[in-house]
Amino acid sequence: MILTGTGFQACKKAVEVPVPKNSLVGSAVFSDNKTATAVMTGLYNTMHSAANISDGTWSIGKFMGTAADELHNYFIGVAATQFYKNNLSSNPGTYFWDNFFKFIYIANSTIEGVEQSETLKAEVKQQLLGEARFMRAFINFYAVNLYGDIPLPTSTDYKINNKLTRSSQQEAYKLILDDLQEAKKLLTAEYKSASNLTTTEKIRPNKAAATAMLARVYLYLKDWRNAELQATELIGNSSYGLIPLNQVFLKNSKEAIWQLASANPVYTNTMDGFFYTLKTTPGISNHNSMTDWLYNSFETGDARKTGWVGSFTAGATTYRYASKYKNSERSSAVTEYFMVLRIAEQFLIRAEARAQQDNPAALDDLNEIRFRAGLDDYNGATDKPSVLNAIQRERRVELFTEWGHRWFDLKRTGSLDALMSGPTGITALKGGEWNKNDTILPLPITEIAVNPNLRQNKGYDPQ
Amino acid sequence: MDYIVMPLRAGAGMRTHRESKRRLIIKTLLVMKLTVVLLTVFLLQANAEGLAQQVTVNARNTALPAIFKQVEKQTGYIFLYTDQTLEGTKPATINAVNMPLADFLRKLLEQQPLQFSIESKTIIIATKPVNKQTTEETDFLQLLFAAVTGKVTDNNGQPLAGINVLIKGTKTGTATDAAGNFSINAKKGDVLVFSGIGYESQEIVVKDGSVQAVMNIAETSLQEVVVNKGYYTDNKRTSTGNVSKVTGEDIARQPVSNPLAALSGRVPGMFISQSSGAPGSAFQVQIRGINSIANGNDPLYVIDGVPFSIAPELQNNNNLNPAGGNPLNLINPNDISSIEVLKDADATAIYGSRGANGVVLISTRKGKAGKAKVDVNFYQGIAQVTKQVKYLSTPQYLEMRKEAFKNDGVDPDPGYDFDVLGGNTWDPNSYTNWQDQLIGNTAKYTDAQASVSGGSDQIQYKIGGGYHRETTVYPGKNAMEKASMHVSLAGGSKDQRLKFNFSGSYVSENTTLPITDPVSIMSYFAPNAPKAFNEDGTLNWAGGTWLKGNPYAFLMQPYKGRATNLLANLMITYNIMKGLDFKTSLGYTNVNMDQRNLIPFTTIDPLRGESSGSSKFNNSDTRSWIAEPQLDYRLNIGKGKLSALAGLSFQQSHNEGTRLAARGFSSDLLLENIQAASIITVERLTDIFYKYNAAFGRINYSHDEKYIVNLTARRDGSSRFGPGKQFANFYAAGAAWVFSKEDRIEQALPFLSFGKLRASYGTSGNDQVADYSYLDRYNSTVNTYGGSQGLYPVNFYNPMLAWEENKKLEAALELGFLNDRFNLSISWYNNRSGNQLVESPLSVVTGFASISENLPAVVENKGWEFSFNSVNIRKAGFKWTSAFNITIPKNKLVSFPNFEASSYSERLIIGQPLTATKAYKYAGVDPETGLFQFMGSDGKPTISPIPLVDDISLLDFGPKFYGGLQNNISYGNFNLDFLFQFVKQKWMNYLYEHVEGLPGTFSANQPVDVLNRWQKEGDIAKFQRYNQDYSTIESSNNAVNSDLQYGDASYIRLKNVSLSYNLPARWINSLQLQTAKIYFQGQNLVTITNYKGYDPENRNYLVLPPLKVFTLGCQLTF
Repeated sequence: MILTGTGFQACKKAVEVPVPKNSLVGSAVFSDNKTATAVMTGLYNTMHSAANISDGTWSIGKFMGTAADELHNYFIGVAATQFYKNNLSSNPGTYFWDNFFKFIYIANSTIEGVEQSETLKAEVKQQLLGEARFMRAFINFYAVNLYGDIPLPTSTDYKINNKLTRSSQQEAYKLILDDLQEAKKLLTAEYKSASNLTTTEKIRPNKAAATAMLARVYLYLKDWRNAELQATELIGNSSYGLIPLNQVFLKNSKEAIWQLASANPVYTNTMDGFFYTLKTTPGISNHNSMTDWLYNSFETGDARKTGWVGSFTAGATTYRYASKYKNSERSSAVTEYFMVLRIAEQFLIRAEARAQQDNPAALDDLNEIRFRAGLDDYNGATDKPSVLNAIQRERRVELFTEWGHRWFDLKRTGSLDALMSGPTGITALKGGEWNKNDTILPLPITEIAVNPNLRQNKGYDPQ
Repeated sequence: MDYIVMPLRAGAGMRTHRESKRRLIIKTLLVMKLTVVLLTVFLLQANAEGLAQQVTVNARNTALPAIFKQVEKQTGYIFLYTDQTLEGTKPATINAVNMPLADFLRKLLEQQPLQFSIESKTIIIATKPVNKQTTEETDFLQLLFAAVTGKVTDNNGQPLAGINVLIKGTKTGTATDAAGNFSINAKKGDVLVFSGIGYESQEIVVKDGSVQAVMNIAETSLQEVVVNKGYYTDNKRTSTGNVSKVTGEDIARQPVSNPLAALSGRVPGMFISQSSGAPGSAFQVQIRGINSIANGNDPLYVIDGVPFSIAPELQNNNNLNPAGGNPLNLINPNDISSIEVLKDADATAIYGSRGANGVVLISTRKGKAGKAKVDVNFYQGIAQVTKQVKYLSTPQYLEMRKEAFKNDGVDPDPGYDFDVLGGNTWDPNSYTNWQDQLIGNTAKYTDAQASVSGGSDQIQYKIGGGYHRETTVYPGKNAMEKASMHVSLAGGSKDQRLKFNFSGSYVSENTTLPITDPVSIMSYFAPNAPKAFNEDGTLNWAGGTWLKGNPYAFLMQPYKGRATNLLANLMITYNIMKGLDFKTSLGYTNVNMDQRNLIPFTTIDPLRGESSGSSKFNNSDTRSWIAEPQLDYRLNIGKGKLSALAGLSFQQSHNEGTRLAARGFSSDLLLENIQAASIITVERLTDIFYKYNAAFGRINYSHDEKYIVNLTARRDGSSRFGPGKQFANFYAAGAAWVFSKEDRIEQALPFLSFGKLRASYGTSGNDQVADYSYLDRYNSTVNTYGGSQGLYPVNFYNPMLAWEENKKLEAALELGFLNDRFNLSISWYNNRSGNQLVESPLSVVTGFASISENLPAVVENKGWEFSFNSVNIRKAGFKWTSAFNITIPKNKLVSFPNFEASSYSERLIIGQPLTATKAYKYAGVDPETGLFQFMGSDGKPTISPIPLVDDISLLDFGPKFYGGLQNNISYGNFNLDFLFQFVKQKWMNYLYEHVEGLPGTFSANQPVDVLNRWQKEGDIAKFQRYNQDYSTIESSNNAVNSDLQYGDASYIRLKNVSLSYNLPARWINSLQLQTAKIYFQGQNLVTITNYKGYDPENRNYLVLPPLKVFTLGCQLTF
């Protein structure tokens, strides 16, 4: 016992260990320009890694494409089948939820870390704050459209965030708009590299990306005037423009406003390019084919029908597939980046916003897109519903399999339910059973269990 | 040495001429005999490790037993003698200061009719060879020619010294020498009685001039077992704590490569299950239940005083080993002399923050003084899976698929449903039993061990080496090979004030296994799936129609693992002054792993579009050292004995590792050449420092070995916690009352040979939380984005992380009956773990799915442990002993402040075990829809139960009771030992785990149970209707979450059988051997269970079950 009471002060030092070589602690990360920037790089990296929300087999584009009428599913995975048949359940599906909030945490920790840092350069601070605000808005936009009311964490404090209730969609949009407007102010027109130098690589969001998202958000909010203003700002920007179909999805194309570089040493180009391109009958390795509903919606002579659609024939059956990305080889030299925002959407946003405001210039924007696709100018009826209808049809064949545009368009224009329901509706034809509640995703059952303040969406268990 | 010579002086009183003539002859004989005796004494001395020990005794007219006890206390040696032996002895007066033990004993027994010998740490007291005054009267010719010689050995063939040999009905007798030899003047027909302390007496009729006696160890010694309590040793008789011991002999009876496998069913309170039948697989070990809500329920392993971290393999996420691996696999079971399991506070508090889940002490074998002895052991054997699951045959499978199409109202699709319609190399009518193919092989076991041991009183050594190889039941060249070396050196200075003990071992293990366990994908192969190989021997890809890939492709993707373990420990003891020793234990371990996963290009389905094979490399290196200076003090105060210990512990461990992924190889031949890869990714870098400091102490006071108090304490500091939370105190108090030593009880209950009541209370802790958990760390991303590495957050800042504390209470009764022929031990324990250190689940909205934190929840583990040992039959040449143990544990979440608001409220249930879960209550299949129904909380069956509302069935997966029954029967040269292990428990069966392969879907085979399914309206069936398009997935998922999926997983298993035969002495002698034994051993031979699945021990239908093993071997000593 003599020794028992002695020597502890000396021992204290002896149980201190250095931070592991592969880690940095938060305060250190945000004291250095490069490591602080690396946190946002990490976010883009994760977002474009395998089985994440942007690209490939677990992406929003793929799952919402099968949930709508763009893609058939041949894979027997639970999630794949549930999306395809519009038969989602709260268990076991966490779908996009987990990733969304991990990204929002990174955005929030960047905002907090950058704001508290006294050593970061002012321009780096501004850039990172801008990117973080933009990303928070970008993710919240998809979250609110997929899940309805969503919790809105704005800090990294887990004690608060673990008990959050779901905010209304209005509140969510308020935060989204606020973030995007702030991001637009903070970001510059230039693209920045991971060293915060100007670059031609369009793989980090810039002011134009914030503008593009603002245009889209205003459109969704039916704020036609602002949607038009934001879109106009981009369409008037000579850095961006419509280019031939076969160049649109190349890396850093003029069409691109924001793209994601590959973060995967196997899929060095895009995962969509690999997984959509059919080299065998769709099934275990390639899960999807393009539906005839989509294929038949192209007009005769539409260059996109041949340029952006591929086919594979097995015996008597011909399968079509989305072929926007041409590079379908793994580990091949990088020619394409994964598209997030592009200028064509802005033309279509402005066309719709103008049409809603009874501005005949709507057709000019529509025809720009049609012209690029080798089609004649729109010559249908020019009453408002017809023009709006033509614009939706154009969106369908222009933006197909990109980020679930079709699903969100059907949903925001109120036509989803009609298209999917009934014995001859899309869902029934896919072998499922449509239910009005299927327009939004269920919250993961685990989330409801952990945080009783989170209530489940209507039509899903547990209520 | 005059104590032995003395009786020879008997010739002194001879008077007559005739007598003097005879005297001459006798004298000659005596000289001869003296030579023998001197030689014997020399050997005895050489064998006497006791010389190394010193004793200080001041006794005046004291009875011998009391003096013996003093010596026992001071030296840790044990005296063996019977009351008869001490008959006729007188109280002794002796004054010795720091006298070498042997000298002391010599002096003490000088005037007594006793002699001693020292074997290991045991001092055998025996009657001196009978005074030759009697032989004086017998004819010297008889002395010359009727001498019977012989040898006495134990059941293992080891020679026994100090065994008394007496001619029945006379007073003529002698004792065996160090080599077990004796010589006695007996004639044909005389009956020789062999007796010795610790052994059962036996009688042998003299038939010729040579007699061989094999002595069986008497069970009476049970209470005398010395138990290792880590920093000190104790005697089972006087121990205040709960320690279970498994001997090296028990371990050696089992053909296992991991010592943990040898403990199943043998230690009360210890629940062990093997997770896989693949070589080198992981083990789950729990001592007295689950203390921690989240994780970290592993005991602390200490090998020869060096804590052995199980972290590198079990907690290192980089681990590529498909069988999980277990660092204790890097210990050679053959090197182990005993394993002690410490359970209660009294025994574990001295291990402070790491004692909460119990401590497993592994001691390796040491050399014994004596002439060099060579041991060789060799066995070979075979192993097979214990059981196959019965899957559907081809006709049954086709019937299921067709019925599913009919149910769904669709026709099979020629482009897809090849199993029904054929095509793409599918032949619907073919049949393959994939279990026969993939896990039906016979694994082969080979094991060879050799050692040399011996030494003098100055230095003792044991050097051994071993080799073990086992193959797998999978096709292909898979095997685990293990080579090991072990060295033990002990000795000291001439005056024995400085002593040292060194042990070192090095184990190198090479393992090749398939990366994917075929059992995990077994059900995805239809019975009529295509042949695995084309006619040209290449893999048949069947046009991409395999549901999970070609099974043989998986088997051709190897994991190659190399692991080495260097373990060294040096204990130096210096005697500063009387009763005070300074000791230092220094230890070093280095576990090094090099693992590879190889995916050859030829094993990848061409349709997957890969352009080359790929490989993964994982290197991990863990170096730990420990230094523990200690002071050890002993003092005798009248009848009381005080011992005290104080020490410091300094430990450090550094784990570094890198996991690389490499691809873009130009050829499969280059997969292990990372230079040939065009893309190399660092998937993970590990760099973990773990530092650990402590001060500990122990005070023990024993009064007359009747009343004993033991106090232990430890203050611990660990780097795993945030600033200000690194240190904590732990303590325990234990007390024992040996009531059988009370005179009144001794007289009133003569059949009670031993009785002890003991109790202990104290605390120990648990720091099994991931290192650096309190820091808000960012790690580098695995891949680059646009050429730049990113960072991603790993966890929140959490400086409040602190120890988990376990308060342990135990009470026990230990009884021995009829001279300890029957022994019963009953322990009751109640452990409460508080300040729970857990990974609490968080809403992902926070950014993470969990956080490490201390919760003010209390988990209680209480239970009863019974062990009963008996000597059922004890006759000459025939002995049958039994050992039975049973544990009845009870686990409960006692309290959880603010439970409803906590994130645990949906997962745990207050008042129920941590292993309890809620599930839907299965209510049969709806006769109308053919879908599963579940009982709603409103008492009505429903097809769509509501989570958290209709979870009304309460299930518990904790074991209800478990234990073992061991029997040992020896008959002549045969010895049969067998162990039954039993567990009463519930677990998931295999019926519904295949959510990705519902009955009726493409290429998903099913257990035959699904034949009892709904077919048409009105059917009452157990299983819902077949379905081929997953439209019934929801009700199937609900079934997975219902009690339908759970069932009885209790079992009784003939865990181990060992049958050995000691070759008769005459054969052995002619072969110049000391002993020779041949044996059969078996493991997991018979299992009685209702469990639906492969095996109730690993309870996992996606993992290879443990194997049944049969081996044949031989053991030679020369």
